[in-house]
Formats: sequence, structure tokens, C-alpha cells
Amino acid sequence: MSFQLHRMFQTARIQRRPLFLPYICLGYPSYQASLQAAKAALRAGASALELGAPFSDPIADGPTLQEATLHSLQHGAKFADVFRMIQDLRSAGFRQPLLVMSYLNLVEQFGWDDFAEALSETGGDGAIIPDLPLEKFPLFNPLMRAKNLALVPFIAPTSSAQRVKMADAQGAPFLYYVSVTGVTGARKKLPPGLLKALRALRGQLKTPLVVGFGISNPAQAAQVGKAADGVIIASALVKLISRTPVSKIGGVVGRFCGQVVKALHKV
Amino acid sequence: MSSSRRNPAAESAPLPDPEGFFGPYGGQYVPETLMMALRELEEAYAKARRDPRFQREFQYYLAEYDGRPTPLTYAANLTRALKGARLYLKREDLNHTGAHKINNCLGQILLARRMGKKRIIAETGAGQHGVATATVCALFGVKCEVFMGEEDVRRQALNVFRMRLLGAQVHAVSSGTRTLKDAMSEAIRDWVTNVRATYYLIGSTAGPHPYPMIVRDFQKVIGEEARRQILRKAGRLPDALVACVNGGSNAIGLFYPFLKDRKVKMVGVEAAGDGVQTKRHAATMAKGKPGILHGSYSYVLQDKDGQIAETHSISAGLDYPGVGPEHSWLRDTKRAAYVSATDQQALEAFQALARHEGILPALESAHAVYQAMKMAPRMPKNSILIVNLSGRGDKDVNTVLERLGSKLRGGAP
Repeated sequence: MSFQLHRMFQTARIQRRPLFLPYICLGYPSYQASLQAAKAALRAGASALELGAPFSDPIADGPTLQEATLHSLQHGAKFADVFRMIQDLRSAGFRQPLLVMSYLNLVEQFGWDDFAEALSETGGDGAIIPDLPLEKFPLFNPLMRAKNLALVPFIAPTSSAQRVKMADAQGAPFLYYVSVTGVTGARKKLPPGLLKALRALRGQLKTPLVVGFGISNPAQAAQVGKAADGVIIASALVKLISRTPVSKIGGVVGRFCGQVVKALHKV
Repeated sequence: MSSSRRNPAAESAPLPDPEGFFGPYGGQYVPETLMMALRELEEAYAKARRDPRFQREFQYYLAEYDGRPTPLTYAANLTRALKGARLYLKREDLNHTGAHKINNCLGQILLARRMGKKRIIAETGAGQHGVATATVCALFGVKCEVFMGEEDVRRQALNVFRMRLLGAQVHAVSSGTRTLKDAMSEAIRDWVTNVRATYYLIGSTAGPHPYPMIVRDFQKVIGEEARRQILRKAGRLPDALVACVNGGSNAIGLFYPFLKDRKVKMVGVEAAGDGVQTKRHAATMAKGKPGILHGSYSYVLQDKDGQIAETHSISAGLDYPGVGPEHSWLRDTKRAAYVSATDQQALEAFQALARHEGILPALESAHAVYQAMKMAPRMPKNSILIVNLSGRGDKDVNTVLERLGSKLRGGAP
């Protein structure tokens, strides 16, 4: 439910505690393993999850996520698995918001109405679609909002002031700020000037700001957390999973997420 | 080219619309980071389009460097053999670098220069667009990097070498299916990363708006010339146009100037590979459904979930799993018809054109030649059929050798 997301960000702002939204690649390295990873992240205190639906041509993703999504597809991952995972997480008792991260074609082929329906039925909270332009929000945002689901807009370092305003006006629980001009992927250093850019941006926005792309460890998360309402970690987590034997994925993901949550508490 | 030359009917409903749509097709489905670059390109192109100096410069290079106009050759022998419509070949194979791709590259490099971009990137499948891009970059002294699927790098080693000779850097793309679609994804990723200083020179009518429009505008010289030439030679318009279609740049280049000539039939020919009933083909219009690939909404070969399908064609230049949005619109509105030809049929046409006319067509173009050979006998003797010979076949001789090899014997046709 998107109101839960809204409330979560409001509370976070009052408490000055940035939120942590880890990304889990569905079906990587298997459905069960990704479910374990998701549970571990939530247990470790993740504020919400981004559940990534694998797509054959992920143009916004760097090598790590490309390889992971390709692996998932080759091992039979289906789009409908996102709903299955939401259901599994809900029946295991997890209450945190769950967002589906998907490229537009998958949603388009599933059908927007069916997508919103299935998301709402299973207990999902919204969707993040990197190749859905702001111009198309008027077409799809109403049908998502009618079911109390969020559609999260992106803004990038190259977004004009006008587009930032446009994103801010969508009534979303948060905006996804792409920290670098580039694709997803863990980076050694945060882009120079990021914090300054975030502070300037945040002053103009009424919508909370969550930062993703290129954040790889608890220390970086804490740094970004000083100037944002939340951080997303994707590639670094997927990379960690790729190096971990399946039986230990839950433990390793839980530990990593726990460290990030702790680092963000100290911000 | 310039707006004054467009006819009044076209002015009433120019396509794409301001948001880049041909009916429901087209648009800009790209990550937010790229929206700024697309706006910048739209603005720069809108200015260039109206600027007579830009148009003069483009025409200068088309004539003096590329060698335009290309001839419209009457294929007398093949016409006699087919006993039907008079067959004319639009000789895009005679362009510099051997295919129509250079038309668009010349236009876009001039645009990139106006925009002050110092680095050009491009995707390529068979390597023809890569070679054409490397060529214009050498001509204008601009840094050039070409993305090409690892599989294509292997299959088209000669074109890779040509690009390197021309000073371009070739990146072998190892993601996904390691062919054109992945090269394009990788080029987009590079563009997202280096968006401020880099110009992405797309070679087909695919991709986000304004690319399908820009590529069409730079390729429509094919149809403009053909229209003038046939009016001069035959005193009337042709009955039908035939061109191969994948992304669809050579076909839209031929078709576009004839769109308002309602009596001129238009046929696009897709690659049917082993046959559209098999899994090995690239017939997007026949077997695909509308979806989003590389920033635009158009017919796409995909599975039920929307995962992009793998394709096959004997011709490396026809194996993109999508098609330009304007073609999807022409198909839905029935202004153009889309059919397909198999690998085998393309090979037949390849040999027929060689034997009858002394011309080796590119395997891509051979798909169109096959369709023309099929249509011509069913048309009245005085009717006229124009085939776009989009490229020459020298690059394909190896592939043809592998397929025909010892089966081939010399002698009279």
C-alpha cells in the first residue's frame, strides 16, 4: 500500500533517519535463494525491498545486474514470480513495503490493469520502471493510485529544473535519484559533488529523495544518507550473492544489510 | 528535405507527432538520464532541418563524397526472364562504402558537429553501419567507437578490420545474445554514461524519438531520387516498391517520398530465416507483437512475458528483433504490406541477380529481389516495379560460399 510508504518516509524525516531499500534480483541464483535473500534483508531491518524482475535487455544496468538477470532468465525465471515472491513474503509475516522493479515491456505485456490488480492482490506497494518516462505517468499513475500503489519517478543529474518539478508533482512516496550519469553498478567512490547536488535538490522538493546507482557499502550509504531520505543498494548486494554459496546467502545478505542499517542509524 | 518541398497533404498531419509517435508507435521510453540528450537532439535537428546551409552541406557531401544520385537501373534481362512487370533497381549498392547506410551517417555527423559533440558511438550488426560511421568519422576527424556483438565480430571479421583501418575503436559486446540487439543495448549504456559529450549515431529507424524521424529524413533521398528518375524514364509513377526491412532504414528511405502517391503499392520484406513457422527467423511483423525495445514502442519479437526473442537470418544485417515504429504504423494502416523471404529464397535471388544482371546484391537486398521476382510475373507487362538494392554483396560472398560451395557451377543462366 502506497500510504504505508508515504508514512514511512514522513516518519524517517522527522526522526532524521534515512531508509534502506535493498534490491533483490528475482530468481538469482534461484527463486528459493532469492526468497531467502529477501527474507534476510527484511529481517535485518531493510525499510522496504525492491524486487527486480529480470529482463533480457536491461539498458540501464551495468555488468553485475546484466549477468544476474541473464542467469535468472536462463534458469526459467518468469515475470509472475514477482507476485509469487510478494505473496511468499507476506505469508511469512513481513510487513515492509515491497516494490517491483521492472522494465516497461514486461509490465506492458502483462497488461497494466492486470499488473496493478495482481500487485494489489498479493500485497505489493508499487513499481519502479526505469524506462517509463515522466511524460507517460498520466496514463498509468492514476490506475496505480486507484489501487493505492505507488509509481516511482526517476530524476537524474541531467534532469532539467522543469522535469524535476514534473517528477515532484506526481504525488509519489519518493523520487529515485540516479546518483551518476551511467548504469547501475558498484563503484569505489561516490561521484564528486553528489552530496552538494542532493542538498540543493532536496531544498526544492516536497517529495522525499532516495538515491541509487553506485552505492556499494555501509560507509557510502551513511555518507549519502546525510543528504537523502533513503539509499538503494543493488549491484553490490547482487555481487555479494554471486560470491556466496547458496546455503549461506541468507546469512551473508542479512549481515550486509544489518551493517548498512546500522550505518544509517548513526547518520 | 526543407519544409517548403513537402506537399500540403503531408503538412496537415506530419508524422511523427511532436512527442515522437506514429499512431501508437515510437515515443521515448528511455531512462531519465537520456531525456536531456534526446531534447537536445530534437532541438538541434529542428534547427538544422530548417537551415538551408545545413541542407546545402548535406547535399554537397551526398554528391561529392557519397556519389549521389545513385542510378535507377532497368533490369532488362531479369525483366525478360520473368515475363511480367518492368523491374528497376535503385542502386544503393553504388554508394561509397557499398550500402545506403552512409546517407544517414553523413547527415548525422554534420548534425553532431553542429552540436559540438567530440565523440561518436554507434552500434552495428553486420558491420555496414559501423563501417559507414567509421568512414564519416575519419572524414571529419572525430573519435569513433563502435559496439558490435562478439558473435558478429567473429562472423564479420573483415568489416571489423575495415573499421579499425578507418581509425575506429571496435568494442566486442559479450552480453546477451552477442548480436546487434546487445550491441545497441551496450551503445545505449555507453551513451547514458557519457551523455554530455557523446553523440549516438543510430543506423536504423529504430530507437527513441527523434532517431526514427532523423534516419528517415536522411534516407529519404533514396525515394526522392527514385521518384524523379522513374518519372523521367517512364513518364509515370511505379506500380510497386519493394525493399527489405529489419530496422527499416532503406525501406523507409524508398517508401517515404511515395506515401502520398496512394496508387503506389509498397512491400517490405523481412528475413524468414529457416521459415516463419520455425523458431529461426527475424520476421518481426509476421510473428512479433507491439512492445518496447530500445526506447520505442513497435512490433517486437518476444515471448509471452515480453523477453526479447533470439533471431536468425543468413543476413547479419537483418537479425534485429524489432522494427522501426513508422513501419509498424504503415503496416497497421495498411499503407504498406510486409512479407518475408527465407534464407534459401534470398540465396536464389542472390544468384539470379548475379547471373542475369551482373550484380551481386547484399544478402539483405536479396530478400527484396526475391519478392520482386515473385511479384513481377503476376503483374501486367507494362507495369513498373522498383526494388531497393540497399547494398552490394561482396561482403556476403563468404557466407554464400559456405552455403552453396560445390553446388555452384558456371555456365549460362
